[in-house]
Amino acid sequence: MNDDATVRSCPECRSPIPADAPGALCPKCVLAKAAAETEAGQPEQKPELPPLESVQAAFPQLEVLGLIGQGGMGFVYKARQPNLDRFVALKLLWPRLASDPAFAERFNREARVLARLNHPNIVAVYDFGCSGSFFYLLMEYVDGVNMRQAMRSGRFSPTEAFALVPRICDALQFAHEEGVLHRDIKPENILLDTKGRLKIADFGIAKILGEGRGNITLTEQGVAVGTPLYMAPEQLEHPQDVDQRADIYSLGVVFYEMLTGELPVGRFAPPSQKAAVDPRVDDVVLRTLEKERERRYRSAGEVKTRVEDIRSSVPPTGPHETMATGGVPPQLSGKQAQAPPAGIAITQANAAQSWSKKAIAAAVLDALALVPCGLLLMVFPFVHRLDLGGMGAVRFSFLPFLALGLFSCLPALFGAFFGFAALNDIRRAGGELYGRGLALCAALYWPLLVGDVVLLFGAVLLMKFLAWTAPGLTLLILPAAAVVIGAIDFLIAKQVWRATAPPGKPAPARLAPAAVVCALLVLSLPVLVLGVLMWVPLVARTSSGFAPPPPITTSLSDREVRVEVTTPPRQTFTVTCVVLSNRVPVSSPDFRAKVGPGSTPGIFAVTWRLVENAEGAPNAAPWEIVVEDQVSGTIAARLRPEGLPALTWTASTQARDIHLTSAIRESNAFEVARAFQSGSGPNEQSVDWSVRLILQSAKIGSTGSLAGGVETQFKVPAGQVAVFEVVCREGQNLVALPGLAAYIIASPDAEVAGKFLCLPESDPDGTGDWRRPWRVEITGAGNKSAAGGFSVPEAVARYGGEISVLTTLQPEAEVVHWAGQGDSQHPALGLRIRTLQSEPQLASHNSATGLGTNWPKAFSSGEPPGR
Amino acid sequence: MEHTPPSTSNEAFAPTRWTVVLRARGDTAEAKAALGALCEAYWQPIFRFLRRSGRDEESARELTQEFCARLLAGDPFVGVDPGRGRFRSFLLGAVKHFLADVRDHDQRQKRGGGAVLESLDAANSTETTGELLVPDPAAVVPDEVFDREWALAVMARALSAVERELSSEGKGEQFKVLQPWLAGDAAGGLQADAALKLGMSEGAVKVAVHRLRRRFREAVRSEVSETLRDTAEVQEELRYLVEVLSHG
Repeated sequence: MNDDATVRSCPECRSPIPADAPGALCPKCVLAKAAAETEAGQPEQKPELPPLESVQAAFPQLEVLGLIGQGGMGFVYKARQPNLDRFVALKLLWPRLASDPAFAERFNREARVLARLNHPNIVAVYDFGCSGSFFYLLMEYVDGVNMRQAMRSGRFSPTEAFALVPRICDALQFAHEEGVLHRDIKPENILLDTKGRLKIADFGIAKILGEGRGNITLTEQGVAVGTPLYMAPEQLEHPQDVDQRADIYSLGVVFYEMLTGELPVGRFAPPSQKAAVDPRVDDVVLRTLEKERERRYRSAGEVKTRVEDIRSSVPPTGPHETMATGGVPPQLSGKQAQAPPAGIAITQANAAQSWSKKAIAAAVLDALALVPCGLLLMVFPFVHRLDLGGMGAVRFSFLPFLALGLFSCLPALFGAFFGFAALNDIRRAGGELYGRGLALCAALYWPLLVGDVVLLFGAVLLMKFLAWTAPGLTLLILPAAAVVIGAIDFLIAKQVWRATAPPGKPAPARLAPAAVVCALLVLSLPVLVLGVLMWVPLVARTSSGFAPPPPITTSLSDREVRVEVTTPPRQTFTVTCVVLSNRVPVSSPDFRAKVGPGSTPGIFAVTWRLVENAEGAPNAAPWEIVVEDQVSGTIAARLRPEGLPALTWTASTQARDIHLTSAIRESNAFEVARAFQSGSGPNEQSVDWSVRLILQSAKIGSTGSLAGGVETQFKVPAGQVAVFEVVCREGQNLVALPGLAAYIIASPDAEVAGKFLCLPESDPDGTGDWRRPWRVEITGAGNKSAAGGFSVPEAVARYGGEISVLTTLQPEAEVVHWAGQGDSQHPALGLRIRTLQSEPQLASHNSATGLGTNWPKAFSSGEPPGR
Repeated sequence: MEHTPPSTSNEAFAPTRWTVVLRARGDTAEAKAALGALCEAYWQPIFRFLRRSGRDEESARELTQEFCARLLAGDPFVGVDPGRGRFRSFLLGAVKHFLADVRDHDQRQKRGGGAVLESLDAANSTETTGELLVPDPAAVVPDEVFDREWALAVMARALSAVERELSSEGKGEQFKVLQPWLAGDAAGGLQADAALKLGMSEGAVKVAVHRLRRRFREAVRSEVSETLRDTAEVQEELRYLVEVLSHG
């Protein structure tokens, strides 16, 4: 900024530039330009919006409804004239303009001219004036969008551009004949209403605003009024000296933008290189965009004539012109050629609307897809059920149904594809095609249906879950799911409907097609539900609705067979083992372990395994069945049948011998059998031993919670006394616990039940607070029973379950059933049942029970009584 | 260098500082800060005004400092009504008061055989004094001088703000080349030349010029509105500044 000797003069105002001017620029010109351009209709700092109340107060004759626009020239409100019952647009010019006295005069003069412009493509001015502190124009209200908004939502097709430009020309020609220049043609000022009519707004407003004669400082700078990008070069340079050709230039810019989506800035390409349009259009557009106005069209009418010529001359005029112009791009044939030659309005085009073929094709395909899908859903379960119902060995193959499913996929896929293509076509055609609703239905039906099925499966899973936790809610799930699914479908359909609205036609408020899609889907849902309901039992192999199927998994290793069971909450879990020899249940004792209910689903592992070291006990079992509570990590029960031979485990080495029957659910009972060979010498016949596990879960009755213990059912051999003793193992010996014993003498055929139970520390019988943590009980025929509880000084190892044993007692024998397992602190406890000869023989008095082992001496054989 | 007039201070535009000052009557910390920022922004006009009224560069700087300090301290010499709306008017009034005050003081000192005026030529060595009038402490400097300096300061600040903004976008070179167009198309010259220089198309230059003008306009308006009570007066103030420059 340091100029030494030479004093430079400003090229703009010819005055010397002061040496201290920042940037060595003429401060006067710079600031004047900054100040002026602001006033020229582009205030970057928006003045405050006049409050609605003050506007309403200034216009008592109107109902001011709200602001609908705000631009370089002021604010536009939507208002209603109650007496005429029509909507009007109220344009308020910037309040600060009112301070310019010359403005009022100019405003009145120009507005009077504008009010005379009466043309269908020009927004009519009803009234103007000054009310309160506002200069206002009362104008026709156009319900629609401006071309900028329309372009933003989707470019105009050449057809649309060709239909719209002549109408802009009409309006301009009319105004020019009336001596009015627009001076600010741009997409924002070209309005398209909902009926497809075009109206140009803001005629001459630029002049009112820009002709600021009152302020010399501002206008002498050569302020250009208008929007620079759309302005003719001469309008930029000499705003005062413009004629109708400036408007034609601006029209050319708009035309170019409609065709290419770009502005003709710099060295721009002709439209036909940017978009698929007739090359002859280039001549028209480029001539409107000539830098020198002498070379432009002289009138808007001329532009219109040229455009109409191109539109109408394409295929019907025969090959001559086509050849002369070097071929016509396909886009211009077809619809455009059939369009009326002149004065086309989109409204007229509406009359010639046809249906979108793609939409129809899509709908047909969708319907086609329904047939195989319906077959698949409805027929297959029935057919398959016949097979299950015992028709024999004939099994229906899945393959035909798989093929059917695929066949239903294809039309559905194509239907959706065509539907979307049709939507796109209709949007691009600017609403000149019928069938948008149909296309929407066709496009969305199958995709949404698939989504719905997924959601529905989610709902079914939820139902299964609730069947365990809150059975009362199960029935609510399906209606709730239907409502949710319907709402989701409706929202999606609405969005798609809105998003595919043709440009220039704002989406109408009615959403009927979206609702139809939604209704179709919701109607399809019961069919789906039915299908799903029929499929679910099939898949889950359950016959009782939505109760959870037994989740049973089995695994084999070289030492064990392991079955994992998930049990429902609040149910007892019972494992019954039947030992089979060569597939025949042997008469050796059956075992049953019962595990008490928990509030959560239980996870149990039932393992049949060999015992590593049989602990040297004389009758120690060579194998055992252990029920483990996986949740708490404890052993709930350990079943050790005695008197069985040692086995050679072949489970994993001879897998082909393993016969694992699948779990069959039958009133909550599952059977898992596992066979294996018993090993022996070469001379011995090998025996196939197996164990059948019957897994049951049952709702617990009123008996309260379970404790550990042994429960037996047996028959007392004739002439014998059965003595129950609770024993514990001490090394090699069994020691009977004092006091925990009972005996029974029963008639030979009578079934007797004996129990040795560890009761929880409550009062199970409700007889008082006497604690009887241990209890031995024998119930004989005729309900004669002996029961007693004795306190044991020390707690014993925890028992997670109850073991039931069905025992056939042999005379003069003894069996021990172990309940639970011991640990380092606590001995393992078992129930020993001995049978003894009772003397003398009983005849009439053939039944007795009692506590302890000192059965009546009268019957005693001299055997010392138990301790 | 602490006395360098901070014409290129880089604080961002804050919303109408002058309003803040007025609202608080200069009492709150916020208002003090706003006033300080305004003083800093318009240091140059004050300084030049003082220069014009016959101070040499050094003492003008000192006086400007003192003036600002007293202004910020809320010195009662500020016997002007801040309610007049414009910071420019307020500041001019304050400076004039301050100057009168200082003159009295000088007179008293002179009577005591105090300071001697320094040579005029001494100041000519620095660039900012190139076109200064012959200083006459007794002469009444017209208000327009202050206003003209003010207008230049506004312009300089807006220019540097735009330059900063563009430089941060990596368009510093573009700013340098296109800057002349801010005065008008004739001042700019051929856009083709600029296009060549910048390696852009002519159309792009056209757009860039348009954008530059718009930015500058925004900057000027924002600058001016900082000093006004009512932002609606921006246009009026701008007009006034243009007028002042035309006469100058």
